[in-house]
Amino acid sequence: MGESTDKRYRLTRRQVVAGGAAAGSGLFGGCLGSMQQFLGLSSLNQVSLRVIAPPADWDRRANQIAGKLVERLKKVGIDARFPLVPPKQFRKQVLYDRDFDLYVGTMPIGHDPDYLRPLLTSTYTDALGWQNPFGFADISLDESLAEQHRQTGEERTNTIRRVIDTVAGEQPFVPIATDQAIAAISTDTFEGWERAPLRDPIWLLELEPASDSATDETLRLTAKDGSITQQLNPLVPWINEFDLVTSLLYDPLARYYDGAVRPWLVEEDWSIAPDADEVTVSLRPDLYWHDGEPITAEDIAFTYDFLDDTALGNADARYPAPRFQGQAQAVDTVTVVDDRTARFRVDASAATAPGLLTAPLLPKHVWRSRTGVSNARRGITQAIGHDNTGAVGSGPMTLESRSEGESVRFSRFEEHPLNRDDGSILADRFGQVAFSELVLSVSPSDLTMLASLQEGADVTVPFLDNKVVSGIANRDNLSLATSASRTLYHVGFNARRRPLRNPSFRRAVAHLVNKAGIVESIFDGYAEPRTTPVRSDSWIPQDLKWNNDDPEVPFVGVEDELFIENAREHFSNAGYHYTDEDILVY
Amino acid sequence: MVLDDPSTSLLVALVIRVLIATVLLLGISTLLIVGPTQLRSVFRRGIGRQVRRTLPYFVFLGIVLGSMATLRSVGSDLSWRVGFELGSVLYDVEGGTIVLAVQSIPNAKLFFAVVYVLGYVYLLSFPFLAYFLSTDLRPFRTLSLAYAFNYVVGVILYIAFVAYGPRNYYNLGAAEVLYNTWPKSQLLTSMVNTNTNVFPSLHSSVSTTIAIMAVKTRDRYPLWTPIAVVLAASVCLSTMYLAIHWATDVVAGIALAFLSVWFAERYDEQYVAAMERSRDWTLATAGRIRNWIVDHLVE
Repeated sequence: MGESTDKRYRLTRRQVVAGGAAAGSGLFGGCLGSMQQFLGLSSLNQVSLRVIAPPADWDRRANQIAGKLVERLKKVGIDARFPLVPPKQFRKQVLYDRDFDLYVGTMPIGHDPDYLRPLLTSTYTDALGWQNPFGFADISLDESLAEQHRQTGEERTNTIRRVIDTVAGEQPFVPIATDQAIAAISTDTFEGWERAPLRDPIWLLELEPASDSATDETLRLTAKDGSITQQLNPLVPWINEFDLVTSLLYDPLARYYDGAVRPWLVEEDWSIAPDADEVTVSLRPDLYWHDGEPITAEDIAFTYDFLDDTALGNADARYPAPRFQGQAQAVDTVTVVDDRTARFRVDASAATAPGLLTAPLLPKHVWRSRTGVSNARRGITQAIGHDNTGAVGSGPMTLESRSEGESVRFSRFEEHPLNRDDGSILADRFGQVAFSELVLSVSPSDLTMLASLQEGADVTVPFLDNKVVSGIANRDNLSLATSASRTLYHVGFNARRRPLRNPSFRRAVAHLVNKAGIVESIFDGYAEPRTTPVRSDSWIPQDLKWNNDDPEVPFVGVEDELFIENAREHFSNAGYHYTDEDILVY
Repeated sequence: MVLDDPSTSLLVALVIRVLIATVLLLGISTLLIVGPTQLRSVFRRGIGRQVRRTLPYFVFLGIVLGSMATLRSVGSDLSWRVGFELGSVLYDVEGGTIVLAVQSIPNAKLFFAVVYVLGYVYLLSFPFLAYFLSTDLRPFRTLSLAYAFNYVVGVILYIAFVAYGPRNYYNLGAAEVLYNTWPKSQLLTSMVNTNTNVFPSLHSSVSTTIAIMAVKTRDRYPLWTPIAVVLAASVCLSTMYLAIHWATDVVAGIALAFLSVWFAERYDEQYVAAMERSRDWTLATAGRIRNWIVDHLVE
């Protein structure tokens, strides 16, 4: 505990020094500015920021959080603009081009804090997707993130607390809250809707038929997001916590459920060497791809080679699959021992090694030809740009048909270990998938999704806005399922850009965010405020735990009323100054 | 389209309802506004002749609207690539002032929702029927050209400017009305348009165009003029009341309407000449093809 507090004091000191330096350059800049102004060359500029957010149609809550932030940025003298962008444009600007100042959006918190390694390591800043989109760079954090990956037990806990402490101090992004997953259900054919967290890959696998006879029923799901009707590629670099492609169509070797990463396609008796540099796994017997080809250890070796370089050495550079680079990078080699057995040489610890097995397994015979590089400069390869609309996976459901922009139909894959009751621990735990078909149909809004529940749809995706909850409660043929989620609403900063490079400036912005107010008024309480981007409380240092407010960057105000003078002081202290008209300049 | 898809069946039911309502309204209006006397006289002279005279204009309008609809469907992606992001500017300049003032009209939710969907469909279809059923076809021509002008300029501006309407800026407090009052209507609107096509308001421009024409033809259809003007004003207001458009979009739409009528009247002669040339050319070509077939069959 003492250690982490120390670290933070050190950080604060460093910030003071940085702030002083920035203030000094500000003064000098001011002097230079007025001289340039005198000579008619240039003048000081108002700090100008664009905050991008989804339209209210898409995500009312992120939109509202952003709107509030924009108004407050204006109040503290910043020229804040508020362009709204649809998801596709958000991905282009934030996840590909890194062309943004601030955004308000969502990303899933990993089950294990090891997910912070690709998210915040400085060497990942030039990569795609959720690999350091913030352009955040801190060498000592890089070292801690690498260390925790090789540690276990208390040692690892301490390192992670140090990481979290630095992240809270530096605020590369402002964690706000994780929302409650909410779904509406109109069927009584199935039960068990709340057995797993609603956005987890195993949510639908936990369902059971309400009566013994009903195992050949179709489950009709209605969704606002139609991207699954357009592409089914498990390697696309954006991550949604609820992702049918990596949960039903593609299988990993191991999957997180019941509180730990557990064997999925591999047999229960995997072996992890004592110093965890070697992991040996065996595939369950008689596994098949959806096209009937057998799954072999060759596919395992191929998958990890391919994730590490989707050009497979055919290009002049390495092109890792962005979504799983964190896993692929920590796997040195995969050796095929026999048809079903593979040996991983890994750079990990007993705590983090199982997590390396959670990437989706890819069929070699389908993906080995997809090695083209479509945009070398931006690092886009065929592997991540491919629509993969004829997806061949090994998951418990197989793709039946698809109608772009409208619907997708899956059917139960009877060869899957879950569906053939082979007496394994896995099959005993889950049993056969409860529905023989799954149809997802696209509907433009929450309200039209609820309307289609009256027209034959069984359940909505677990992304309903909390605003519709009271309407559902009033309808007696609809019921509600809710659970905690790992979907983190946050403000992202582009630290590649001035003035967001300055941690004190980012902290000053974080002080404008009233997390308690957001949870209460925007989420109606259907959310949990967050001070740090980790799932479990056990990783969070005592002094960073939620305490009616964020202890690190508390809201400057009372109730939802901003104390403008105090808020401005934070910006002044960050090294920027105010003109006589209360405009923040640099 | 998947027929057992729940949202498709909802959509089909909705479209059928809107169509039935429109046809009923059109029937009643024809009797009351065009009147039995004029209907009799048009039918006496032969409806076929009227169809022959107007057909080229319908074909022209069909081609223009069809190609614009195609362009609009790919326009959204193009717009994000090349267009100017106007939404944040409108948010800054206009904010909620005008839209919130319009929304303060009491007890008007249902009225404006019905006006926006049903009133608009009726408003834009009736004048075609009325001007078609008239011996003087000049208003018909003006309207069809003004219409085409509205759509072409509108779609170009949609590509040049990308913006979301006020309802998508939740913090403005401009409540979402249409879809909350009538959720299923979103199935229809999301089919017809994307929510970034905001500047200018084509609802406003087309309605205003019709109102201008109604004033110009008040001698022929005196009853239609007040109906069209009041309905057009309501449609313009409804776009703001429903927080779909900014006041700027509506003003731009009204300006586009005046421009389109001016354009259509200014180039009426050229329009007639062009339509007759294309009709003659089409007939001549059809004739040649017929002759060629006949010749070859005879051999």
